[in-house]
Amino acid sequence: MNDPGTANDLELASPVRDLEYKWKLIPLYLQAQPLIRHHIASFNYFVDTELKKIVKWNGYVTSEASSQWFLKYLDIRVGTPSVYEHVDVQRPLTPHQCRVSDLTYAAPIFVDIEHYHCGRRETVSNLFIGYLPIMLRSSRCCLLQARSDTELAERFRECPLDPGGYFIVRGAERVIVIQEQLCKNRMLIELDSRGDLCATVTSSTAERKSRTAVVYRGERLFLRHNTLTEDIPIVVIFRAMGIRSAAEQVALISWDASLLEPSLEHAERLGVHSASDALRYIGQRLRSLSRLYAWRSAEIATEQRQRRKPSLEEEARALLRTLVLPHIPCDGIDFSDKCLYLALMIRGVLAAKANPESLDDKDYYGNKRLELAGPLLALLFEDLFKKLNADIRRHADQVLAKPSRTQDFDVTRCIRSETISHGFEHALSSGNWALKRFRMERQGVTQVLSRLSYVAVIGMMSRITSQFEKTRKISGPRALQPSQWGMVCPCDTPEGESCGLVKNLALLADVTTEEEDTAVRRLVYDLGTQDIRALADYDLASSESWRSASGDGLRPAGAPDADERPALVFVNGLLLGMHLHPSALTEQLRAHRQRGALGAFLSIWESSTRAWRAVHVATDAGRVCRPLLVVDRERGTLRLQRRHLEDLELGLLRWEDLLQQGIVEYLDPNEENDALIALDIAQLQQDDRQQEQEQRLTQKTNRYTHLEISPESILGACAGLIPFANHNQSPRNTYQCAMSKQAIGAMAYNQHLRTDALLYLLNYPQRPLVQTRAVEFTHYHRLPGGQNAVVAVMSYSGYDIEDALVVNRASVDRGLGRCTVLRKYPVSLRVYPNGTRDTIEPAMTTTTTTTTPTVAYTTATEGAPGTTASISVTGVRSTSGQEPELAAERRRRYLEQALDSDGIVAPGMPLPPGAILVNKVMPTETLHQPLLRSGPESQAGHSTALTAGAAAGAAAAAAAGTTGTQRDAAGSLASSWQRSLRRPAPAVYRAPGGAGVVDQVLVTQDQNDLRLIKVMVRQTRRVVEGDKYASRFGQKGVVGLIPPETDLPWHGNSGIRPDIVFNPHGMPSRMTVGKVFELIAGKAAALDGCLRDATAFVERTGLDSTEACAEVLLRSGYSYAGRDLLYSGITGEPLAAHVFFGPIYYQRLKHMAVDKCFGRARGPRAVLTRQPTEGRSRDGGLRLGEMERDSLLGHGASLLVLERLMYSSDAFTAFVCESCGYLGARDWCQVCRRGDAMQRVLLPYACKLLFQELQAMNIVTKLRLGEAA
Amino acid sequence: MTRYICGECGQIFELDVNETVRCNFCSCRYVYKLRTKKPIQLEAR
Repeated sequence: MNDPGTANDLELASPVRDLEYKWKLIPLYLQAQPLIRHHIASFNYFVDTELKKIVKWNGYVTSEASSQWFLKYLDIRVGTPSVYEHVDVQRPLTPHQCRVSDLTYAAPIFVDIEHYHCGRRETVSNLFIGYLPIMLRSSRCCLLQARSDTELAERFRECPLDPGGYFIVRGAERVIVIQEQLCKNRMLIELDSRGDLCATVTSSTAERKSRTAVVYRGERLFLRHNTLTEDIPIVVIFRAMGIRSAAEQVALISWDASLLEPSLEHAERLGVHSASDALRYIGQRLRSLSRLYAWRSAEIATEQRQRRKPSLEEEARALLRTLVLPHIPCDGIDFSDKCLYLALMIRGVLAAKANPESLDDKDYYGNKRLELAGPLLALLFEDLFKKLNADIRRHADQVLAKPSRTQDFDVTRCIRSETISHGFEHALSSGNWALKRFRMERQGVTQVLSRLSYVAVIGMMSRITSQFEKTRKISGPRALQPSQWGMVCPCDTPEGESCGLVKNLALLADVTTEEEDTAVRRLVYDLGTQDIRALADYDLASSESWRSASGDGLRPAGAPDADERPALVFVNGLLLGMHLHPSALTEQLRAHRQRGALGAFLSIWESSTRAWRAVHVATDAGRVCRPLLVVDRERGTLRLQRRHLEDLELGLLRWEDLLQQGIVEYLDPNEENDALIALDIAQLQQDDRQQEQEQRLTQKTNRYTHLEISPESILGACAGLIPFANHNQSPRNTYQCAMSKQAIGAMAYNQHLRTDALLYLLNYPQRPLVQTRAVEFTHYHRLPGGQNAVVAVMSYSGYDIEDALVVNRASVDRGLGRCTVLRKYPVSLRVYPNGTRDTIEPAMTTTTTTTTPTVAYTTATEGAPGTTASISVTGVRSTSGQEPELAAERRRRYLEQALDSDGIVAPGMPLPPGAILVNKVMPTETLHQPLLRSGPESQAGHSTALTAGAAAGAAAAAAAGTTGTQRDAAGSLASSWQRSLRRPAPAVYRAPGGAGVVDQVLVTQDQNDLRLIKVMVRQTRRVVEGDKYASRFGQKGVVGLIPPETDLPWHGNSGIRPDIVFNPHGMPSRMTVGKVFELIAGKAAALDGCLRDATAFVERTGLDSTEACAEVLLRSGYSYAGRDLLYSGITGEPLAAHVFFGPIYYQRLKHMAVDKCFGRARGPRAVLTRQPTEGRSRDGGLRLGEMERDSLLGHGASLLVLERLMYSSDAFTAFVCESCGYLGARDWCQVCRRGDAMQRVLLPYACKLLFQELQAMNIVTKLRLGEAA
Repeated sequence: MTRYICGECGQIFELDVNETVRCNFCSCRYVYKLRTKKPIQLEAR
């Protein structure tokens, strides 16, 4: 049933009848690009292209000490994941090996260099500079070698359904979560914190990031930049950039000149007339730090820089060149491009002033960019690479400065690969991207991949987090934006503080990677764009686009049609020129894209604001986009034909072919604004008919340009799994999205091979009877997370109030909800700085002689409560009359019962709580050399771990090889002496739920070649009262009662008894109509053996329709409405009402009563306050809080209050001096200097502590004593 | 000496406490302990 090849239950394999089957493109799409394609594409781009770019930018190192020496990087490449075994011997790695052995799945980075060595240039190729962690299933991943799922499973031990897209760092799977950010290098008109209008641009180039704003304050315009101490009048900036005359400036801006007058006047009053005046003015307002920075980064010859201090003017010019709008290229001191861009910003501000509604919407999804693994790793690599080069330079400076050297300086020997390897590893494993060079300080960039269930994995890979503060109570960024349609799942977001800030990508949404824009630039010019430099200011000013929107802001009645207005052409936010027929330009560009001449992810859109009309072309990374079916402009029909779908069925067509033929194309939110997208074919056909009529009346009509592939694709992977999602109240779907990630089920095909820290597995998972298309798209049916339980919607027993469920005991006996919990207990055998190392010793009790360590064990286990209690329960410690030594021996034997002769438990052995898993022994002294050492060990010394390991190994062997059979006298002496320097540090089994069984014991070696033992312990858990269950409709509840089957009602015709009784009160207020539908459809599916489809927004036809389902019920002898006659299991009488009865898919959630259940009598106390600790994890006390105290006081039970709050908590006997009221010693008051007035007082220790702390703050607290009542 | 089974090729071999973990047949670096030979009694629930 689990074989995907035969999964013809749904329509996946049925013949194509008409274009309604266009949704079959989705599996094709997902096959070509799996769910996490964006992660992989982004990483591939980084490895293949961006790495080379970074090296090209930073690939030249020179030294101050020698003019001859240099280092030049020629090329860089990344190998396949492997680890160096010895020099020149590489061992290939697989992801599974890395998970199991706590290694990093990383590939070596090689460079080709040219450097000066032995008096000549020398090239070295394939020089190793460090390891780069490799994303699973990326172009460098070894899993791509597998040609089939079988090979993947057999050769690589990898789950074929595992999506990849994450990293394995020291054995932990970590995801770089998608980060949502505001668009870079684009102008945004907004209000600043003071409420002034401003146009801001966050520029980001390979070298630097900066934020420039044009502010409109008090009728005047200013430039704001964080390197300037104050806002600079914009006219001053223009003058500094070389545009001196006011007329020129006005012409450049070409907006209503009267608005500019105050600004112009202001500059005159400041006395800034010439360019040098302006530069000096700016130079005086530079922040001191940026002064140096701007000067340095300006490409001025080194000698010049060294010789003299730069003048104010030079500094200001350097600032304008490099820090103001750095994304705009600036050739020498030709500031014309920057001036133009500034003028545009001013126009934007002024236009927004005329019409305050035209402010840009920051939450608009076209203004967002998603930052993926690629760009983030690129930043990190650039930083590390620069650090590596700086280290090399420093080293070279040192060595080359020496007058006489024994050896010629060889750069290949001083490359420290740790810089890059550790840098990557540390950033990925901690999630901290702290790059000072880029002023970046981000935390939580990576997260551990949640491996609770398969859905959790998929959900995590499509997660988007935004940088907004969670505490801010603004609704804007949290709200669902219309432009997120089809890009971001409307349902899948967490509740609570991060609601709406954490989002999930929709099923078909893709994220673009960067594309080279040179081809587009060429094309844009070739298609008739006039270069902006070729246009005189006068041309720009007089051009129609600028005039028509200016002035009063209303277009004159006789103004030419919008299409006729010329438009500015932007490519990636840079102004290229002007085009006289913008709609022709966009059409031609789109035609080129559809033909495959331009990249598929290129986006072309027109915008028409009051400030200007523009054509934008974007090739940058991080835009979200989604595929849509193209409607032919001329014919008004869909380009997708029936034959395409038929070819697709036969496997003749690939996704790329559809793209190449212009049948589908990707649109981003910006371009979607230019498109009219039909929701379904009917809409399109209706449009056709309307058009014929309308065409006679007018020439232009709204014509559909695109068609949705399938409406359910607006949902994400998690929300898509909800059956009948369109019938539910919206928040219920959100709840279900959160809960499906906690459902226990099958996690991966290799779930038993992986060594996860904690793993919940359902013993008998079932695929849902009622499923959606997304179930098959995501392969949820192959790794399901629930069971089809027969549900009776009725009240039973009263243990079902407040959403509690009643579960059939016999069903539980048959395996309903039975699950396995696997826990990992890792033990690492460390080697210490002084050469000593951890060892494993055989079970103590098997040897008869040694008793000393046993004593040590007793003390070791006493600190852990619970153990003693459980042991006494099992009766092993019934040792009242025995000798204490013998009792300890018995107890020890009990705890060691599962140990093998090698000191590690053997798989299959049952474990009582507190049992020893690995009998590890640690040296007591780990830092310094022990004073006494016998012969062979004295050589160990303070050497590295590896060599020390060999030497200390001999000593350890002597210690460990004591199986009790062959030991000569000297050996035993040495080993007992050795023992005295060692203390036991066993790994102890302790888990909620009591006893477990050893599942497997894995022995391996970690990154540092230390032995690593992972013991997996298994528990099988039945359903008990208090366990959490949920259906797929956000309907969660705990098990309230598990009555015997005989007591449950049975079905009149079939004798079926329900697995679960669900209280009908859960339905009306929640409005989860989908659940009702699921029951009917599921019942029909169970009766006729055909799975039912419940995809959202899709009209249900054929077997899937509710009518057809009801017919099936009727035919099989059930009630048409699904409500059947039941007989009471207790009285045997028919129930008075008909009961809604049928299968519903239920998920068992990970929250189980055993894990939560807790209580204590005595236990640990906090050191400071001596009160019981808090929390289950610390074996803490149960708090008697204020409200409980109040109620006790209300009852007048004050002695009980006293008992709970003092005697049972932190009672303390203090001594108080009656005369002065201070605390003192038993017979001495230090204040009064006498001891005769001391009184014994019982008070809570925390109270005494408070008095003392107050005293420490110079607040007197005196106790006045009276007679005890 | 305890017997281990190689994680990749399934070869069974013995491994000393201080030896490098490495299968002599496929040079695999992780091994599993063999299941205990002791009779195990489990409580069915």
